[in-house]
Amino acid sequence: MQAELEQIDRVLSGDNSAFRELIEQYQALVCHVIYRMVTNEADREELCQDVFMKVYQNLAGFRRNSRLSTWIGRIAYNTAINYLRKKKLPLLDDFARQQDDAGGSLFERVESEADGPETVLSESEVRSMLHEAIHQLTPQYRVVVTLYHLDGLSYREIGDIMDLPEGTVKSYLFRGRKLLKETLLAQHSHEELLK
Amino acid sequence: MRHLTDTELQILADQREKADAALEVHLNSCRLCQDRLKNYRAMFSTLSEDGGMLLPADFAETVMQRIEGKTSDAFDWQENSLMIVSGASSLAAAGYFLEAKNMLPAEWTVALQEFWAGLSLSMPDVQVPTTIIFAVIVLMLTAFSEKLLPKRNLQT
Repeated sequence: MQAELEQIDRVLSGDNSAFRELIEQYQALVCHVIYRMVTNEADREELCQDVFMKVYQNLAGFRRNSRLSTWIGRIAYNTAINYLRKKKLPLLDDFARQQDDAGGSLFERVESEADGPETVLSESEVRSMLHEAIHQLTPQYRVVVTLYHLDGLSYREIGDIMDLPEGTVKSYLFRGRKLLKETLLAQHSHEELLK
Repeated sequence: MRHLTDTELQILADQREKADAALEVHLNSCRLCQDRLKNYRAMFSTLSEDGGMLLPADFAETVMQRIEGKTSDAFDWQENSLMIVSGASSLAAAGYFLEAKNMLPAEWTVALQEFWAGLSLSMPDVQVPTTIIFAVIVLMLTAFSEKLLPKRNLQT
């Protein structure tokens, strides 16, 4: 934490090599948030750049009562949300509403418990199908799952980034993972049928 | 027999969560739940890989260049001042050495001579050689450059 504050002070005093270090330190986190939220490949890198431009311009206003990673993650998340809204792309709330209108929510389908035999997938099978399956989730689910598993963030840190209570984060995580598993199994069964 | 729910299986598959011992007891005796747990473990293992989400190697450099561009824009007025001072000094030096006074209209030459005479009256004991005037101009330009360049260039 002390090193983090010293790094911020160096950037604010005009040491641009400190800001370069900061970019290298947090670019993976920003990349994961933006890439999971935004599916348009052409816009992703520029959005990541925009995030660090905002960090540079607003660092003096960082209150230092949270971790820098959380603050940068929140800027990345809000940048992605604003992009999706501007492009009129659906977010979690919109998606859930669509499901309800169609006569049966996404979450109700998820909560049904399977009690029949289940195909066991190998890691290589999961790897090849998971990327596609992740993109079938809503942006918020994708981010929660990624920040938890790939970036190793806690429920609280994810909640700070997404401005959600810890309980909601946990709920999104469990539902998202269950949806992923069901999508993988459904895809696997479909491929088995094609053989 | 009640099988484990998906939530319970996810807790068992997640090494960061603390699972109830009773879940382990059921798991040891239930093949179906063991298979479902294997699927979650395989999925969690894959989720902890980046899956090709990488930025270009020169990403930090690109951002720094964008910042440099913005910083330059912010100091445009200073850059313009430097250019005006440089231009005026260059014209003055060139005019002096090319004896531009011979090419100017008579009224301008008179005005310049009066200005120079006035300057000499205000500093009667000081004889200023032309080389020193030129050196002062160069020093002024150098001082301006040194003041502005650190703000325009990034310290790397």
